[in-house]
Amino acid sequence: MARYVGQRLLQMIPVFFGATLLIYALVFAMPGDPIQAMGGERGLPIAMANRIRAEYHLDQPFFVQYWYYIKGVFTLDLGMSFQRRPVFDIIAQVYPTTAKLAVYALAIEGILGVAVGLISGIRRGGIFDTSFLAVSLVVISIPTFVIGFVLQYFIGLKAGILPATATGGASWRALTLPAITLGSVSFAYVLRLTRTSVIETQTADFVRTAMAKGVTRRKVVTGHILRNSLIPVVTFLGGDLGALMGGAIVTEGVFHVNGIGHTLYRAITRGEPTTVVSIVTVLVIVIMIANLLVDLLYAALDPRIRYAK
Amino acid sequence: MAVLDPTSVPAVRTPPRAGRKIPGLALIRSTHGLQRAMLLIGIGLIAFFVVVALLADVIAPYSFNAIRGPDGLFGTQLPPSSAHLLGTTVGGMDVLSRIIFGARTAVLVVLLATAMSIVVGVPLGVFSGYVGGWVDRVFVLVTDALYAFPSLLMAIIVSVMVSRGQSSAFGGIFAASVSITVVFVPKYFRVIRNATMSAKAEPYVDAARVAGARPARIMFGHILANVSQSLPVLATLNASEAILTLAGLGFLGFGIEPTAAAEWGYDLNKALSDVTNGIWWTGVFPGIAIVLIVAGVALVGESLNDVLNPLLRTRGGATTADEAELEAMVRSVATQPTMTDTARAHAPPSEQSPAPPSSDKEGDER
Amino acid sequence: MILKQRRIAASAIAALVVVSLAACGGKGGDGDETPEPPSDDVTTSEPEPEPEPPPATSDTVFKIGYNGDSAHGAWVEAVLNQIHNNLGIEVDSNVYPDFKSLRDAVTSGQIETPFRTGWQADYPGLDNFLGPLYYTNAGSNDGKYSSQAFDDFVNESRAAKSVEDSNAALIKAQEVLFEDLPAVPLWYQNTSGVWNPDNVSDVVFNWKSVPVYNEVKKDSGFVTANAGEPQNPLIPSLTNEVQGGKVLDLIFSMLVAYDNDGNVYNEMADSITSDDNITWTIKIKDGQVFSDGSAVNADAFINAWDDGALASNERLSSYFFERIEGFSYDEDAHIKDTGLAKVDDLTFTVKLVEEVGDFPLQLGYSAFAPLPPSAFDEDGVVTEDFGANPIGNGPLMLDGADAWKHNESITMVPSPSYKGAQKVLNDGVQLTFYESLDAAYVDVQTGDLDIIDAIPEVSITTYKDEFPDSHVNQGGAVFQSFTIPQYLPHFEGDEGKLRRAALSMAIDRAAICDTIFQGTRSPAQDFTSPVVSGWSGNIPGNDVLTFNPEKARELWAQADAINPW
Repeated sequence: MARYVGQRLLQMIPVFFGATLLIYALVFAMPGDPIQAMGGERGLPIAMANRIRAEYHLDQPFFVQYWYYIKGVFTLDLGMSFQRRPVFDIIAQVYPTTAKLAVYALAIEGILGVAVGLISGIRRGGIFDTSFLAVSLVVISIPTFVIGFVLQYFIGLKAGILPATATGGASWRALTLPAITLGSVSFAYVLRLTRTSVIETQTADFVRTAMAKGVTRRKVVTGHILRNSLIPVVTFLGGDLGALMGGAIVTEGVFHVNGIGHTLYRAITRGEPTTVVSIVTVLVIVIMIANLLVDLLYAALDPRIRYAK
Repeated sequence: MAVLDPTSVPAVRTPPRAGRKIPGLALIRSTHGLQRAMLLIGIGLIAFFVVVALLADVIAPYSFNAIRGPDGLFGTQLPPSSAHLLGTTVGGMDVLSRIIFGARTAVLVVLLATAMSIVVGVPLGVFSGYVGGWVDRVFVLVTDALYAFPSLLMAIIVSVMVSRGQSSAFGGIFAASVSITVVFVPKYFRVIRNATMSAKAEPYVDAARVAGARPARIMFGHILANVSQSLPVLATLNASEAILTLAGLGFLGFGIEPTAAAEWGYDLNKALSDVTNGIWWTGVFPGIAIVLIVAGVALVGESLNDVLNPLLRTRGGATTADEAELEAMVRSVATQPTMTDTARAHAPPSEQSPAPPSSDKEGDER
Repeated sequence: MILKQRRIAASAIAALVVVSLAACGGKGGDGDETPEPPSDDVTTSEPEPEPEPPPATSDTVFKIGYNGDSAHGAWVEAVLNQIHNNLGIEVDSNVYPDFKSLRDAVTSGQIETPFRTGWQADYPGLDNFLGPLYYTNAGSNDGKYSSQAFDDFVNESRAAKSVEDSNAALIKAQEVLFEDLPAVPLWYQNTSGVWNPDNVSDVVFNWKSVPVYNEVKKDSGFVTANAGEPQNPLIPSLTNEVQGGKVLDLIFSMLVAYDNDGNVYNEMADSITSDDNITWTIKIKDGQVFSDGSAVNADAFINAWDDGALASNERLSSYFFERIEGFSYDEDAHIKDTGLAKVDDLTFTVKLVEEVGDFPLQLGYSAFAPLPPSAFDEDGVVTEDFGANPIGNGPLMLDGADAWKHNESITMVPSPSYKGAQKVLNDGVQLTFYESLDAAYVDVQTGDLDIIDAIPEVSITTYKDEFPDSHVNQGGAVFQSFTIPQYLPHFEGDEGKLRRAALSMAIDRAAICDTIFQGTRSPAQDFTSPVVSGWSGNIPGNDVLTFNPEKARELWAQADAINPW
């Protein structure tokens, strides 16, 4: 097990370099000159533009720029944004908001999804089941920004029950609508996954045995079926958390949540190589660690799985 | 001819019916009841949009970026009327025409992206899986790196890079397709590679090698045929995600210029602020269009997936003759362990080949 | 074998489908952007039909460039429409995907079409609209215009001894511009905004189209208004955009200030005098302090301006210092050793490289703010830490060290040490950073925000009804035009003058301002803005701005006689 973990960690290193190099190359190749844009409609005097370019090493060949960047990373200096704020500070300021949103969304999709999926699976073929299957299909098909916008308009603006945007700060209340939006698609998947898993488990031998032994139906459901069918669900949720932490660009935009996805979007539109690469790298590492934890969790939960190598 | 032996183990089982001529027809036959209804509805929706896309020039009352007609400027944000069945947008264009041409854009981009993804991902997967060794390790590493990216983000960066500030029609469509391709190649690659590794161990491959066939012929003549059985399912599952990614790109403003082609996501973006002023037609119709086409593709994909995943089949109860035969085949094959099964047992779930759509979600266009 | 055939067939069919779609897509994609000449009137404000425009006789297309990520598309289309209808030439828009790429094309001189230009004044002076845009080799002279006559008049105005003489010369300068039309003036952007009458009262907008926050009355609590995240640390000479400017104008006081009508008065300065418009003697009012207690004296100004001008400090607004003697963009030059000289604690002199008549007028811009000693490090460079939490001498000050929550809001409270003339009539101001005007507008409607200083496009038709007693729509200091570069074929020399005048007369500005902008723009009557004192709406030659399609066609035909389009 330890060797497996070690191997996975080692694998992350080339992925880290590969990812940063790739993204740096892509941003480097983006058209437009971000430095001139600093001067707004007036533009900048040539001499000043050249100086600023030199300060950000933008006049150097690609690999030199990349080298400066990597050198900085090892001292946790993730570079400077064009607004002259250290990227590290920027990430440190906005990541907690995204993390809050991710956990909130996960809680919603997990609890609701499992509950509904459980009932659907047990009462397979019933009205509840078919209607929720249809609902989940529709939810999967609707783009997230549409769900977000509809919620924002009807619940936030018209009914005024919950804040329509998170402009005034990311309180739990302000994050409710974004969390529902973010979790909606995954809710559909969790629902189906739970349902499938419950259906499979229902026909397992040990369930029949328990029922034959006279255990009450409720105890069978909660004690045996639920617990065993949760394994794939839990692993999915774990992976989803990683993905959610990856920053929901669109949802954060619609609800004006000041999170990592939105910060990244702004950096891309401004063409800032260091900010984009730093944020993406942090995201990639977070997702990889999340995946690793999920895989370990899977092994821990299901004794049939062992990582022999 | 021997490669078509149905008892050789593809990554996914298919029923050995005469309907082999049209891939999938037997699958359709093997569904029943609600599943078959869903499948047919899905196919119907997809066909509808493809037809609309093909006949766009004929059906649409105006061009997608026309803001004036013989009577002058259309006018902006007009409600549905006889001249404009679905009203006009904030830019003064006809909503119905933009929906119709948007179907063309969506179909075109998804087809292009899927085709490019398959053309790049599948041969790479076969090659990597067959050759193995460090070549395989490198490819797996690279695609894992790509896989870990939030897909919408990747799509944004690539689209900006490819379009390079141009706004031509083809440029925009091409940029969107390429960016979606970059996101999806790893998925195809991974599936095909895993399937190739399982097929590699089969006797017929050894036989071919002994008989002197060149590696290229083995790879693309024998293995490819067998591993590509899972492609239709994968393609449909990924197609729905592709459409949503395209809409997401357009929504964020990185997609296709409105003057170059019509795109539903872009129209939705422009329509957002309309709703607060009671102008519903600019947003509702593109939204419905997206939902319908994605639902259609998702229905097909899900039904196929349900059919092909034997664990989801109803146990007990009446089954049709197709199903019975399918079950018989599955049971006979299930006794032979395959790389896929053992891989699934030993490999972490995040590296499994396709299936419950859950493993494909990567926090993309949220 | 069967498999191969099947695969080949399948891929052939797929290829066929893709190709056919692409072909259709290509054709359908060619914009029907160039419509056939309509037989009826298209400008929606005129009910009677116009005579049929001359049929298009050539393929040369007239285009206007703009950035697609903005709201300019609607009016550019409308202007192009009118040009097409009234002159009968083919038109098209030249869309750049974003502002950055448009600016790149313009500044590199690679743009091959006319392009839209907007200009916001730094200070309410006529020269600010004219010099930087049309003087030979000026910093923002995007169209590469050069006219000796114009330059002479501008020089004359800068040497003038009185404000009246200065303005008179600039009026004459504009006469030259009306002949040459380096850019075709379109309209002035109005100041517009609304506020929630239940929350606040006494809301007045200044010449910069920004509310006078400190004079807004509110029963209790902070006055909340919309803004955007300042794009740079809040160092006065580093800020060159409106959002940062909003904050700086509240926490810093400059030598002069402008009242709501754009007239200048002495704020920190006691007097600013010169005999030759080259060397200026500035006397500072006694007793002024920063919010940390340090004195506002000559050193405060000299050190701040020196930091702002130094090339290696890369201050984005350093161009304000470029006419002080000794200034250089290319190498480090300390103007406190050359152009600036301290006379005593409250007096210093500024030596310019040439006559600049309206120099006192410029000194109200935030780049000229003084800075306390705590702003500088040991090398005399203003630190970025100071920019994160600046200490100023204005009527307001930041509410604590973490008053600036990046991308969220910034909060300011009255500064007890301020001794200037401006009044603070509330408990403080919170500027909330919105990414979209729509969200801010909704918040004003619900009362979650007090004031918004612009109207989102979708609400342009409704804001007067929704806020009948709490809206404003008055002249503003933003000027819009489209520039026709001097090097474009068909637009040089005499032919060019005729064509430019023709284009200008073919545009019905009033119609566009009414229908597309719902009255939030006013048709231009000159090259500056009505909020600037010295503005004149009667400059000889400004009849090219009057809508006159017949004359337009005449002029165009004359141009065709010289060189067919």
